[in-house]
Amino acid sequence: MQADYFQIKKISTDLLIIGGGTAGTMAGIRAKEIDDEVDVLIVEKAHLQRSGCLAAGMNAINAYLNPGETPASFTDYVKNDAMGLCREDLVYTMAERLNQTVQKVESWGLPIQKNEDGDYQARGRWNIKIYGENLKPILADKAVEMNCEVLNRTVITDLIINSQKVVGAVGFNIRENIIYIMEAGAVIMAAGGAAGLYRPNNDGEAAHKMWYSPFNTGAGCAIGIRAGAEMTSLEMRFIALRIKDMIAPTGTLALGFGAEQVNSKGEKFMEEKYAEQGGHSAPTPLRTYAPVLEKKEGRGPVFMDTRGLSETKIKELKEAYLDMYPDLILYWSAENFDFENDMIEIEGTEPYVVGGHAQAGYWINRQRKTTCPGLFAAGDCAGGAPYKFVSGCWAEGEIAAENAVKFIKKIPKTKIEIEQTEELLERMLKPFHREEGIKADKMENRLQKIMDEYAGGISKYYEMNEKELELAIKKIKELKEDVQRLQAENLHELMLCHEVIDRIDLSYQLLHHLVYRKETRWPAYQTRTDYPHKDDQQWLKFINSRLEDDQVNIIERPYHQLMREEQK
Amino acid sequence: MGIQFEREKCIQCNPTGESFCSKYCPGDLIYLDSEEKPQMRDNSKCWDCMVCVKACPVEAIYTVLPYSISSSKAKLIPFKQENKIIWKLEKENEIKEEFEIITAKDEQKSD
Repeated sequence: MQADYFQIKKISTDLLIIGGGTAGTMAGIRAKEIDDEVDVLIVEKAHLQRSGCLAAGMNAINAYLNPGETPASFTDYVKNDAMGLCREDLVYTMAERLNQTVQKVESWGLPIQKNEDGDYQARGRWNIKIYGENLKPILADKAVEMNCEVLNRTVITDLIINSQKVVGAVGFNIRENIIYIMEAGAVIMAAGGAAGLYRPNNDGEAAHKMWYSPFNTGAGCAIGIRAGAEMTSLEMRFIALRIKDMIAPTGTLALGFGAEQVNSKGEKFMEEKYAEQGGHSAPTPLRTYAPVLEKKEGRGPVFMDTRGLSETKIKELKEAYLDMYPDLILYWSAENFDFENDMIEIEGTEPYVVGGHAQAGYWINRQRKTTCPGLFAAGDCAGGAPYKFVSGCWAEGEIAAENAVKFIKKIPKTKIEIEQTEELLERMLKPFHREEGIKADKMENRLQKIMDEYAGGISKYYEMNEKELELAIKKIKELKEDVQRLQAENLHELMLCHEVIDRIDLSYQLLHHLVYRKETRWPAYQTRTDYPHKDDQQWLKFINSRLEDDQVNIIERPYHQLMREEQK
Repeated sequence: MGIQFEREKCIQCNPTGESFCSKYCPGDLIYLDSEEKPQMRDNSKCWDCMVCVKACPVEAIYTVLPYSISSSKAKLIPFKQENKIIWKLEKENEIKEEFEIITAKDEQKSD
């Protein structure tokens, strides 16, 4: 197929938001709240009603300051959970508005569980229970009500840069054969994190039975990497501890129903072996790595013990999953799961790159500005601030929107000529021009095999060393050249081609981070067998990177502790 | 994971545009064939979010557990009402369990 198959449409907006998920919709709504005159365009790869991480719903808000907690106590907790290293300024400024964003969404129609006193039903220090099946439609409807323009089924492939400033983006619609050249006063990147870099837990027909959205393919970071934005902490991958096979979250079991991890010998190993680090309240990376080690050392399978729940509690547990992972209920029934006698088997997922749980993503300042003028970032692709989850993405979306609107008012929009996007459009359509070549699926399999075997995937118990990583870099570099052979026969396949390109570009950058950090800071997320210990003396700092002339250059950035006394 | 359509049940639900299952699938996995009825591109790419299952007004879509994960047959069907979903779990042609899930604020449970 040829380029004339497409119609080229040039559009212009004040604020362009790439990705209409948790952070992106909230950013759009906030920009409109501040100034209804500002034109907001949300570009979404799927459909705003049910896109991103909230597609199936959510049963809890996991970043909320319950009574007695403060932004400072939250920041302390997150820092400890991130093994001592995070951007405290980002975490703190996010924490300041966690509660107000939740209350806002409640006022738009989100049902939140209340206790007898009419307060939110707490589920741990930072968690409240919600009835969130409908959470995404509530956000989407609000964005539309606020007059945000929405462009669904549109895949952004690159940013347009003019004199080092981000002035817009290019993308294609997968329903209508339209190429969009978008001119914008400012851009907020909110296209999420990445699944599918590593070989997943399940294969064949069940390959996408994963925790993180398989449709979040790393575009959020990859688009910025190609534009020369500085990225941070990619090496803090995220590995989730999940219910085996169905890969459903375990937080509901632990926080909601008091279930503890046990190995095949019946040992509560968190309490017995990790008491010093906090037992079953140990930092999240340890709670993920500990069961992996139990299995590696022959004491698997590992379970969460939910035996002894009353009939009412079992019903409550199932209802909690219906708000988020309905298929688990189907699975338990199909497998004749017996709540009285059976325990729930758990396993670690494949590694993801997710700034909302770990802290991989754009290097941003407190205003959520990236290092590229005109480009802001929020949510799972924004770095430095772990423990965002849903409400943190909302907070960050709001902060990014406020500062992007200020930017738009200060700096005039740059006119874009279609000619200056020629190279970007050529890259966009290349897979379409080939009569034969490699299909995206095949390339994705190869990427996942390399990452799994040489860069600490599930089959390696998440461990890696320098030699393996160097090999991985060599192989992924070859794969990067092979994208020249990608071939698409229709618009859906063209999207798949760009998804695998984004995954490869992000993986390549990730590997450079993994090889550079010569310590083990976050077990499982980042376990180096050749440097097995945490080394605060040398490595309590951020590893950042920039792609320049196809070279990944590493930049070290210092860690700053906030002035705690002042805040308290 | 994956889904199955009961083709004869499909009513081509959105006369002014794309049927809801195809319109909302976050993975762009459902397309409409020459008879405007839905087809699944590739079950191995399904996340199992049940967006299509819930969007279908006539319960013509089911989630199917892949054989590699489970060999037993069971069905989980959502019946959408104004402020809630009634989920019915069916096994061996019998409703085994029913759940009521709140989706909007008006009918919030008083605990």
